[in-house]
Amino acid sequence: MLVNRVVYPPDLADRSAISPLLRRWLGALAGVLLGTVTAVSELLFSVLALLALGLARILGRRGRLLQSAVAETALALSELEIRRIARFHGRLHTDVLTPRRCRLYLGLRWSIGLLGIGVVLLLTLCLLVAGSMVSAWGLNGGWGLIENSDRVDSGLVAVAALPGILLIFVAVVGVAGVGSLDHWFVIHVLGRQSDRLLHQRVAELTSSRDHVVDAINDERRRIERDLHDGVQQQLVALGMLIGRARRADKPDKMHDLLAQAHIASQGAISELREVANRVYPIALDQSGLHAAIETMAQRASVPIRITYELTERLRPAVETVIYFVVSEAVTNATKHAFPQLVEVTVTHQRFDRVLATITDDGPGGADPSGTGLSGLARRVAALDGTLTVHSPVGGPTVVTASVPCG
Amino acid sequence: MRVIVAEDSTLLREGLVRLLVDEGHDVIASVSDADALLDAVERDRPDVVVTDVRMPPDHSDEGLRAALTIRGRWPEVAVLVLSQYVENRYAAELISGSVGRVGYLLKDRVAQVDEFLDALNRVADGGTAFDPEVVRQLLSRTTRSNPLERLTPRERDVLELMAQGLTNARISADLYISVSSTEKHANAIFDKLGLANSSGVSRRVTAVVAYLRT
Repeated sequence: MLVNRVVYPPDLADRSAISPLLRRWLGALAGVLLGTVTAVSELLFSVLALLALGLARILGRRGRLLQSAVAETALALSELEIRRIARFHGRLHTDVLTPRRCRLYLGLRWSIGLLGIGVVLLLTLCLLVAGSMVSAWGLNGGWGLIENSDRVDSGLVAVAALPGILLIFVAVVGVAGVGSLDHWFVIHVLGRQSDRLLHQRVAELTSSRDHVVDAINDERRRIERDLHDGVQQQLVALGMLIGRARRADKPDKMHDLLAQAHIASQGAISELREVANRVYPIALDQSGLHAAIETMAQRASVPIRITYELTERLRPAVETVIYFVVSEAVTNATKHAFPQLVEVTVTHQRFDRVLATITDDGPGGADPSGTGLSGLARRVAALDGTLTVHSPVGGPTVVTASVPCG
Repeated sequence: MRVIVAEDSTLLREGLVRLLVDEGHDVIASVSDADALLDAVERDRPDVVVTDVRMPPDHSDEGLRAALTIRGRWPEVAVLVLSQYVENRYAAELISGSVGRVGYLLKDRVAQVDEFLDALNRVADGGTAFDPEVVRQLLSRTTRSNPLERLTPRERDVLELMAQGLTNARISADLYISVSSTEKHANAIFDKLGLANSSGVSRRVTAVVAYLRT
C-alpha cells in the first residue's frame, strides 16, 4: 500500500530510517550466530570427509558408498549455508552445486564462522565491561570485574570511554562485516558475480533462443509428418473407397465398399485425434501433468510404472516441457528398445527444481544426438534445464531432465 | 495393363491395388520401399509404375529417385509419381529430358478416382499427367528472366492444361473455346518460349520443361 507520508520536520525522516538499519543489523547478528553453529559442523565434516575419502580410496569399489555419502552431506550442508546467507546476508545466485566445490567451500568456510564467534564474543565482552563500569559509576559501587577492585570514579570512566566506544563500534560493524564476508565468500566459491552472471546469462539466452526456434521447427516438422503420413493417408484411402463404390457396377459391391469406407472414416477420425493429442495434450491444461502422463501411459503399448511425487501444479511451461520429455522418451523406448517395462519418475529436486527420469530395460545404445532427443534437449535448455541420456550398450537407457520450477 | 505399386502405407497400398484390380488392371507387384521397387521393375518390366515419394528408410525422396532411375534405365516403363505436397524441384527433375510416359500427381488426387485412372492411362499411353495444383504453382513462379511472363493469361491457361497432358481437343472443351483458337494459343506459346518445330520431340512437353528450367 502506497501512502504519501509527509514527514515534518525533515530530520525526522532520517531518524525513522534507523529502525530498518537496526533490523538489518539484528538480522546480520542472527545470521552470524547461526553461522558459528554451522561452522562447528563444517569443521567436523571437513575432518571426517578427509578420513572417509582416504578410507574410500583404500577400499576401492566398496568405498563408493562412503564417497556418495560424503558428496550428499557436502551438498546438504552447502545448501543449508546458502539458505542461511540468503536469508540473513542478502540474495545470491549459485551455479549448480558440485560435491567437489561444496567440499572446498565447507573446508574453508568454517574459519569465517570462527571469526564470527570471535567478533560476537568481543562485542559481548565490551558491552559487559562497559555496562558494569557505567553501573558501578552510576551506583557509586565497587567494580566486581576486577579483583581488589578500585572504585569506579569519573576519571576512570572518562579515560575508558573513548577506547570503549571505539571497541564497541568496531565490534558492531564487525558483525555486519562477517556477514558480508560470508556472503562474498559463498558467491566467490559457489556462486557467480553479478556482472559475470549477466554476461553468462546473455550468452545462455542467445543460444537458448536459437534453440527454441530450432525446437519449434522440429516440432512443426513432426506435425507435418504426422498429418501427411497419418491423417492424409487415411483420408485418401477413404476417398478411394468412396470413389470405388461410386464406380461399382453391382449394388452388393457398392454396399460393401461403403461399409469399408465408413470404417475407414472412423480410422481417420481417431488418427486425427491422436495427432492433435501429440501436438498438444489437452489433459495437460485441464488436469495437469500427472493426469497427462497417466493418460499417455494408458495409451502406450508397453507397461509403464509411474512414480509422481509432486503435490502442487508447476508453471505451464515447465509442465509442458516435462510432459514432452516423458512422452518422447517413452515413444522412443517403445519404438526402438521394445522394453518389458518403462519406469517414469517425477520428483522434486534440490534448489526448487523438478526432476523427471525415464528408464527402460531395453538393450540401450540410444543416440543422444538423434533428432528427437536433441530437440528435447533444446526445449529443456530453453527453461535453463538440463537433459541427460545415459544409454550404455546392454541397457538400461535412462533419460533424465532437470528443470527449475521458478 | 501391368502395374507395380510402391507405397509404404499399407492402407494406401492395399487401397491402390484393389482399385487397380477393380479396373481390370494386372497388379504384378506391390512393394513398400524404393529398393524393392527397382528390383521388381528389373524383374517384371511393367507397363506402368505408381510410386510414392516418401518411403523408408529416410522418408525423404526415395520414391522420386527410384522414379528417375527407372526413367533412365527403362524408358519404356511409364512412371506416375504420387507426392504428398507440391515440390517444384521434384516435378522439374522428373520431366526434364523426358518426352512423356511420366506423371506427377498429388496424393489427394488418388481420392478422385476418375482423375487418377485417367492420368494413369495417359501416362501409360506415352503422354504426361501433371497435377493441376503442381502446374498452378509452377506457373505462379515468376522471375524476371522468365519467358512465361510474356504469355497472355489465356495462353497461360492453355499451357497449364497442356502441362497436365491434355490434348488440344480436351483443352478446347475445358476452356470453352474452339480447337483452332487453342492451336493458335499453343503456337503462340511455342513461339514465345522459342521452341522450334523439330521432329521427334514433343513441343508440348518441351514447353513445360523449358518453363520448369527457368
